[in-house]
This record gives sequence, structure tokens and C-alpha cells, in this order.
Amino acid sequence: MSNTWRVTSEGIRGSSDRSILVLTSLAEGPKHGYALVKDIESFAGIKMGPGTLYGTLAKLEEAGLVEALPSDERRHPYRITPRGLEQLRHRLLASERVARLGLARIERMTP
Amino acid sequence: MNWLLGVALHCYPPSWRERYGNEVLDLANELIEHGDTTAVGASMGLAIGGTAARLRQVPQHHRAVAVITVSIVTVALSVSIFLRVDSRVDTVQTPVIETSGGLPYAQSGRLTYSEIPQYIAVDISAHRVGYVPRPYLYAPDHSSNSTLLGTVAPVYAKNLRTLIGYWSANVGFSTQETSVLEPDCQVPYGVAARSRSSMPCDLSSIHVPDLFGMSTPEAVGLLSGLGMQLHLVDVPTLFPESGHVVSTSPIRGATLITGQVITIDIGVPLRSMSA
Repeated sequence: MSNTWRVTSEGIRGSSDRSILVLTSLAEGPKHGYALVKDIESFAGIKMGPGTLYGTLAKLEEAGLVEALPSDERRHPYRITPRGLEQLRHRLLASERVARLGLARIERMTP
Repeated sequence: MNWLLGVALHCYPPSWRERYGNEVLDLANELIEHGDTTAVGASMGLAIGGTAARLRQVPQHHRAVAVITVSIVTVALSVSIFLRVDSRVDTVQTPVIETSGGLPYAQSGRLTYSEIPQYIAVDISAHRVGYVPRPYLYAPDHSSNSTLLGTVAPVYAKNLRTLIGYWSANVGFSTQETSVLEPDCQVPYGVAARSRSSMPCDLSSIHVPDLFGMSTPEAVGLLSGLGMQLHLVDVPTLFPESGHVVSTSPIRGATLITGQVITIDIGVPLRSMSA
């Protein structure tokens, strides 16, 4: 268990942005690769290539944060696991704290 | 370009390919179909991702050597892919060299089709030539069936692209300003065997003028000047006076092609007909 968590933490730290983007997209519900690409592009403005997306999905699946669902012909859906939701919440709260602190400091610096 | 995706996919470790290979190819093809990426772009992404995945499997102390090796292989692969794609583009875009010029001297008294330039020079004025595409003037060897043969031919400038006028055996050359090409000009009267024509209407067609009451010499002179063949028929009439045009067939305003027959009814006194 501890080993899994270590891999999980490293996985998210190593490719933080991409993992957060994929997990955030899957937090809405299961999606296949093309839907993930389009959703991430719509809310983050980032176009992920197939290699990048599946590299991220592979790491997240290995860490137990996402899991594959039965395929529908050529489309292969994934969904976020309860552990993935927990990790996503943890990372987003941490980011929120950093964001609030940074914004507050900017406010103080601005004349 | 699926071969390119397949090559790029082999950058991934075998275990990764076995688990995700089909999925990533399906996604790549879907993105290409929707125009979100190109085969080259997707392949480059796969190659980079695959290389990174392989490097993660290498022990930490061997990674520097592995990175250098992979970099060399990647550069070599990129160059070979570029050359292969580039050579395909060259194959597609190789321009066709078109021949043009006058007819060569026929030693045996007969020219073969391949000896004739693709664009044949024709005189369009005292010091100028234009170029007519070969199929308008010659049929291919062993073939007497050419749909363009004998029809009004376009005449191009020396660059073989700029249309400068038209040429036909009957009329000779006429400039583009005086002959507007109408590809499917509908001939409204006669010429039953050729109801559609590529001939410019304004070049070779005329409208039958109003000849009613005109004297016979005047009518004959006018229509002959327009290149029409005439057929005169005497018809008894009281008006107009004898020797003048009573009617025409086809009637005034009808469109005819130069050289067609027009029938003119010439009035003659009733007495002469009965005699």
C-alpha cells in the first residue's frame, strides 16, 4: 500500500499538469481518449497528443488513480477511481492554497 | 501514413505496446480523421512518448548513455522519414513537360501522333503564332474517333496557359474578344445530329434578318455575305410586289450556323404561277 502511494505521489509530481488535467476531466465522468482530448482542450486550452495522453493514462492506471472500462469498438473509456478522486482533491486544495497566497502577495505588491 | 504511426509505436517498450498500442493507434487515427492532428505530428508525439517510456525503464546510472544513443537513433529516424516523405512529394509534383512547336518534316510522308507536338503552332497574324492543343487537329494513331477533332480549337499564348482566341478550319483565327467561348452552346435550330456544340455561338451562328419586302438581289447578297446557303422558292402573292421576299424559313430571328441552308420565298404574280 505504501509503495502504491509512493508511486502515486511521484506520478503526479512528475507530470503534475497533465495528470491533474486528465483527472479533472475524468471527475466529470468516464471518457474515452478522443473525448478526453477535446474536453481538456475546452477547459484548459491544451491539446494533448495521443502519445502524451496515453503516457499519462498509463501512469495513472499503474498508480490506481484511473481504470479502464470495457471497450466500445474502437473507443476505450476510462474512469477515475475513488483513490484518484481523493488525490485530485488533495492536489487541487494544495494548488488553491498556493494560488490564494500568491494572489494575496500580488495584491500587497500592487500599488 | 499508417506505417509512420506503426514505426513510431515501436519506440514504446513491448509491454506498453501490448497494453496500450491498439488504443493509442485508434485515438491517433480518430484525431487525424477529425483534422486535429496530422500523421507526422501524431507519429512524432508517439516517438517522443515511446522514447521517454523506454528511458524510464533504464537504470539511473545508465541513463546518460541511453539518452545519447536514443538521440542519435531519433535524429537518424527523423532524417529518413523526412527524406521518404520528401521523395513522395517530389514524385507527385514532378511537372509534366509539354511540347510545342510547328509540325516536323515527315520523311516517310506521314507523321505519327507522338511526333506531333502537344501544342501545334498556328499563324494568327502576319508575325504572330498561337498554339492549338494537338487533339483538335489530329486523331491519335489507329483511332479515327476523336471528339475534339474538327471542332473550334482554343488558341494559347507561348506559355500554353493564356487563352488568346479560337481557331477553326472554316473561320481561321479570331481573338478572344470577338468570340466568347460557350462550352455547351445550345444550337436552337437544325443540325439534328449535333444539337450540342463546343463552338462559340457568336463566332459561327447568325440570326436570320428581317427580309420581308426586300428585293431578291438584296436578300441574296445579304445572306450570302453571312455565309448562308440559299434556296429560292417562288410563291404566288399579291403583296409585296413581285420579285420581293415574302417570307423565310426559318423565320426572322432564328439562329443558324454559318453554311446552313435558308429558304427564301420570293413573290411572283399569281398569273405566272397559274400559267
